[in-house]
Amino acid sequence: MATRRLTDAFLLMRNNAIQNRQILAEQVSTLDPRRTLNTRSNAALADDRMALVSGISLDPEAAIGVTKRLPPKWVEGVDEIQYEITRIRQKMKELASLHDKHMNRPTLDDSSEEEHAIEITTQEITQMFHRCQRAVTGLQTQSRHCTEQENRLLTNVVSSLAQSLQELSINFRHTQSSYLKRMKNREERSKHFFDSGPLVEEDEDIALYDRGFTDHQLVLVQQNTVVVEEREREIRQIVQSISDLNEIFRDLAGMVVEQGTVLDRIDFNVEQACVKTDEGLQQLQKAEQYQKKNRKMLVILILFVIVVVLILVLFGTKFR
Amino acid sequence: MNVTLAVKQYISKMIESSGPGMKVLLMDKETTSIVSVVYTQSEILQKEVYLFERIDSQNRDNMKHLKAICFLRPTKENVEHLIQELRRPKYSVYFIYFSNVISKSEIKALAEADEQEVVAEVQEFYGDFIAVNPHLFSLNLQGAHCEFFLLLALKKCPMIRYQLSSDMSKRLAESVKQIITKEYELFDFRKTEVPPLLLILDRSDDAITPLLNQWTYQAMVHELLGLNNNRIDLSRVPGISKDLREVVLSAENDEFYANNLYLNFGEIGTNIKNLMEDFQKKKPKDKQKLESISDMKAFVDNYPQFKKMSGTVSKHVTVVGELSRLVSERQLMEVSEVEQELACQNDHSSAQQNVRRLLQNPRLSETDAVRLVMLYALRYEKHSSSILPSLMEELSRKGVSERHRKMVQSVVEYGGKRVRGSELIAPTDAVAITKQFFKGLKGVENVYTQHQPLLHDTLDQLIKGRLKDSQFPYLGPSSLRDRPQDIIVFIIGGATYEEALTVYNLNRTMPGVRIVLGGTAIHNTKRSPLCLIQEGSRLQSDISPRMAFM
Repeated sequence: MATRRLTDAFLLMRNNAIQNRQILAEQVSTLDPRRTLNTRSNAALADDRMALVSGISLDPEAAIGVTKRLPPKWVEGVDEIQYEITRIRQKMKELASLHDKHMNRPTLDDSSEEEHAIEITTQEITQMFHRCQRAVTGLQTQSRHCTEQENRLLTNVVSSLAQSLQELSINFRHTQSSYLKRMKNREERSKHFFDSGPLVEEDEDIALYDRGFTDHQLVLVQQNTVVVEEREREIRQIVQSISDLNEIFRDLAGMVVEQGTVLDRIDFNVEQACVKTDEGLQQLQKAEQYQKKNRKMLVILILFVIVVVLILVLFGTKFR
Repeated sequence: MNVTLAVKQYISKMIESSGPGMKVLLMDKETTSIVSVVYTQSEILQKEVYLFERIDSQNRDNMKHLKAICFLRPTKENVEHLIQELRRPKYSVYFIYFSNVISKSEIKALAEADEQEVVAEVQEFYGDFIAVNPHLFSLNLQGAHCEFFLLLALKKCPMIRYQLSSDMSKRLAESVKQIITKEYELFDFRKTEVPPLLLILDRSDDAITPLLNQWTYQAMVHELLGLNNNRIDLSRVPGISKDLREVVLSAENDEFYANNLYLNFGEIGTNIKNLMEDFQKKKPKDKQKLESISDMKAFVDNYPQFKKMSGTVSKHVTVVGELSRLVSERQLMEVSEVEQELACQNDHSSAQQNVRRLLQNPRLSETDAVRLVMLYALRYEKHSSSILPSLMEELSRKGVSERHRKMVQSVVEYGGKRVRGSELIAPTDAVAITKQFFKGLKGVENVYTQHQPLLHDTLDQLIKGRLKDSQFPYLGPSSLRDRPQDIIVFIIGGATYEEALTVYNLNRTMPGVRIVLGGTAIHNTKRSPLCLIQEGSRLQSDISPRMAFM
């Protein structure tokens, strides 16, 4: 990829131009007849002034441009949301590692701390998603206070944020559902293993075999029920969080532009913007014309009234 | 060599080197197309570029919390606009990238205008072409300037061969050489074993290819509907829904399109049918109530895929439907058969009969009629019993406008035997005649696609190292000893999608060779008669001295 950097040449020329301007300004100020007093001190003053202000610009608008305007308030909101998004990503990585650890440990230990940790992380992530979603909707309502161009900027920002959030929520949901599936599989397998005992009682041999295990089995069943209930609880929580995410997803989907359509083309949007500015200009011109017409009508009306009044006065004096 | 990738890399570099923060992209009319063809808006939005403006749009708001990335062509108007912008800057920092070489005096003017010192970078990023496909680029020019900086973008310093019969190609080759020597430090790339080759051709050598009807997807769409920077305007289609008034066909983002770009019409029909069936399977049946959580979950999980697929399916179904409608309305199958016969076979009497028969058909559209006569004129212009005058009478009887009838004459002037360098039609040497004889014996697979553009033979010979020096001389003393590996072909006067298909097939079948094709524009029949002739005369008189960093 070949490129050529002209920045150095540009900066050099710019510095030259600035110096030339300063020298010119100095000469102008020293040639000024009003400054008859100590010309050297004045020159020094002019120098200082020039050093502070970048060149004499007779253009007042440019001077205004020098002072930096504060960005609109919603920009901070954008930064916050982006920060939240990075935090969500981190949390999701944590959650994935927790899931894996939990899956690979033997199931009979009562390791409720891990499950607890998973629960908490999941809840945190869901909350963060909710917060982000509310913030993004909040951003969108700010569009009323903006000019038309800022509005476009805001819409683009909102749609890009909504898209990242949507992708993240899809990832989150996939991790959740795969975890859920694995849990279910394990539960089914363990259930199958432990349930198969009491069901098979027909054959004598098997009954004999079975009787031998009955006491042992009861203990196992008791332990198992506890474990199974815990699993059920976990699964229900996961399902709940998935359905929460559904709502978020639906809201976000409305804000995202479909990919692959003409709305996703830069040149199309630029053309629309041009069209809108043109239309805006046309509207302004129309309004101007109406105003003008208005004034003309007013003048005509006043003159008409004056004429009528004068005629009346005329008739009045005639008949007197 | 992938021209799409080259442009994408330039643009990502531009955006990344300006650091984090909200950015606005300032472009002019041409660079907007250049960027839109390789990047979708949602991709660029992810890179924190949130606003897209034209440098020449008035009444832009002041937004000092944005950084501006300017990607412009270094024309006088753009420099003027930029000067005005820098005098009253609307954004906090400016990173300026020109798509072509800019002169020192213009940089000086910009430097003097930059009173507020808002410019941080000024660079030249040579992405001054529209990357239509990975191996096809276009300059989208309607005029004289042939500025192409593809060589720099692809990092190649080539040997140059040009077409002897064409003055323009010689001049272009010389200007390219001049600029390469002048800017030698830019061209100081790693020398490969076999240096790449730039081949400059002239459209007038093969005026037949743009006049033929095409049957592969991309070419057909361009021919019948018009592909403009990968956008199609469907607003005139009867019964079109509001969403589909304008669609985008881009191989980057559309998998079905990428797979079917070069397949012919019949195969496309089958693939669309399969696509529809896939789609029906994924669609949730109305009877199926989403009751259980797993159902809901599955549906929402698949919803984005589903939505995207439904958009793609409806788009392609509409496009293909419209294409079929046009084919049957204009009886393009018959017309194309005769066209192909005119272009490939050598049988004057049957050609004569067929053309006459078709001209007498009242349903034949004006464009098709003129096209047929043009093809006949090009093919049999010097034939003893040419019936051209009577055909012209037929045309006027049909009510074809005077302007179109004149075009027949102009096209013969433009691409007739006098002007042509290569043997387009009647091969005279023994090998070629034998080849044609065998082809005649074998018969043709598909009568609608039997035509091979002249480019195919040229490239074939070039790859085998047999391209005649007498017809395509080298510029400069050195010449390529081995077979070329990287070839860049540029056709002055425009390329066609049929030639792009040829290049694609050659790229596929010959693995050691990489070919890229480009032209001043991409033609279809509506454009070629008018543009070729106007462009031809304009190009001859006015080739700009600022050229070719291709």
